[in-house]
Amino acid sequence: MRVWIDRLPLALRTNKLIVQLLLLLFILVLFSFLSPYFLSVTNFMNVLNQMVEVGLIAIPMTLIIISGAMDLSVGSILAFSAVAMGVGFENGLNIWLCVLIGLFTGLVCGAINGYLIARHRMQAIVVTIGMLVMLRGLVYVMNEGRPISGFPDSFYFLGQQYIAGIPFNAIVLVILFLIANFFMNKTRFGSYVYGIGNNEEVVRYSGISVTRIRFILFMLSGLFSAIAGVFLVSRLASAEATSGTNIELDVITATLIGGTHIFGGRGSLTGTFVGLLIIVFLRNGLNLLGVSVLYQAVILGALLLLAVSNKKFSGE
Amino acid sequence: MKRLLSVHEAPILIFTLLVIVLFSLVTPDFLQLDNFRLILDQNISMFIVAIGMTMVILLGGMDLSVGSVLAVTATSVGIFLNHGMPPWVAAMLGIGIGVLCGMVNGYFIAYRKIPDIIVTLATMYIFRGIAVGISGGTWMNNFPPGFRFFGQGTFLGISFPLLVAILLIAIFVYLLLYSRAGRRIYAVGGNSSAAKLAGINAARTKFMVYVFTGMLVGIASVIFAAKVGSVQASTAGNSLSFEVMAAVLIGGGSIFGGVGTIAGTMLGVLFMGIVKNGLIIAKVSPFWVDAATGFLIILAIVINTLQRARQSKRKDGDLI
Repeated sequence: MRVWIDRLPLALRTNKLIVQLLLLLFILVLFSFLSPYFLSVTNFMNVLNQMVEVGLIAIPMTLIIISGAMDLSVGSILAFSAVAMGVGFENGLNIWLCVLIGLFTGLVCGAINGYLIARHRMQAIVVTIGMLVMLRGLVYVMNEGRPISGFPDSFYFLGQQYIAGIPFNAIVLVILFLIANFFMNKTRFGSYVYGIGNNEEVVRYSGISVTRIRFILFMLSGLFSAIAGVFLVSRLASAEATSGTNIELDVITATLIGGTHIFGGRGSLTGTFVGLLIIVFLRNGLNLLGVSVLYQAVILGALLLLAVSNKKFSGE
Repeated sequence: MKRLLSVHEAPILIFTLLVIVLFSLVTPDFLQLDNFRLILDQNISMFIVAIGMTMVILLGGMDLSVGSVLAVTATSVGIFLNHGMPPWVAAMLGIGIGVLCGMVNGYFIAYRKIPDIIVTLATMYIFRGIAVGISGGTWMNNFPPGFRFFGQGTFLGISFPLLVAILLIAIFVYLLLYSRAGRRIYAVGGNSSAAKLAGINAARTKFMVYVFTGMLVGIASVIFAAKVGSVQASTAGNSLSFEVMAAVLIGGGSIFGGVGTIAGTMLGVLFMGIVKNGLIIAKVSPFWVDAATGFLIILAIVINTLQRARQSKRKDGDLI
């Protein structure tokens, strides 16, 4: 393995983005050969439409992992806000008011995470696991496990409408990625996030409130999970208690394949976006080949281990 | 009284008694000898898995994959039995598979130095997928009567699984308190670099802990399969990892490593079992059980952090 890596041209060894793009290209070519349905505009637009939820959550997840923490509760926050929205709608509220309720619910969940983790310096992993289990339980308590559907047609615009042949939600995703990328690269906030990941103490002694930055990051995570929940409900036309289960595997794998370092301090949203494309095209190709979802989880899990254990790949 | 309160397990003991009193007031069906036997009986697998999880958390680590390892082991034991293998051999092979899963976890965590949370998150999905794959998506049942002994048999008047659990608890309490290997776990968890300077092979200690955990989960899954009588690979042990983790943290284990005892953990498991049982007997919706588990995890980490703050204050004085 080592020898093989050393023989690669220098450009390949130093620029991990090129490696990731090559991997993406490899997946695209491979599935084009394996399945006749893979290489078509319809399928590609389909993939873009389906990747939005994972992609939306991957934005704050990248920032959080760069800052040296992790959020495992995203899938449950997604379901919780989706069902909160659905329950509001069932009680006769206006659908857009319900969307606001959903987003607010996600924001509050994120704020609880942030309050415990940032303000009281509790371990992020344990707190978010607690939230993961608790919120999933509360989702079932709220609607007893039955799906909520029957939303008005105007609401389906979010997840099902195509503008000039491109899905509307994918356009929103790309715009949000560009905005987040701008914030990470050009503003002080971005530098602080990288700084916290590299050396929290130095950031604190520079007079910057680490607590506030971390708090904002977890609030963002809650908010984006809720946005993902709204888009998911709009796309599937029903709010279900099981929605978003295991989504954290996809999100974390996309982020880590995208070159974000697991110990924080390094990573980029561009990398995450390529990682996201790798994940969704892989899943789509496997779906077309008729591979069961559980085997897909095995493959993703192996990919996650590979991405982290191959130090060259993650840029060490 | 003060000395009694300074015992490490005192808070959880008080909590447990409080919950018992609470549920006894709510419903008369709770405070019955049969009900307590039921609580013990239902949580046997959890008691055994929690021993392993205690050691993992003592190292400052975490194992999210125990539920999936349980599914893999139980499913393969079921397959062995359905192919006509004698129960003892099938059980031993199952425990071997548990050890193998532990070795996979341990290899990546100890020798490849990947964070435990990532490794066990990945293996959680990998093992679950394998379990469903080898089961073909069907229920595993029709176990031979000889196998049922592991879960329902009695030995000298005591139920066999309870006997196994007590034996394992005794062995591991002894190992952790009095053996070199056990003290090494506390040393590595308390201060990894100091342990390394003292000549302790931290990687090997970590590896051994994950292997032991795999073995314990293997034993637990044999008992689980024999007790339940049918195993579904996609749901067996689904929330086990989170519940066991909650039990260890409630029992006074510190997520930062180095602090915790098996006795405390066992009280933690008992506490979780009592809460679950009480909620059901009090006819609260079963959906509340999951929500309560999550709430207990958060409560445990809050208590954990408060304790740590108090201890470090005692050590450092009030300067900070």
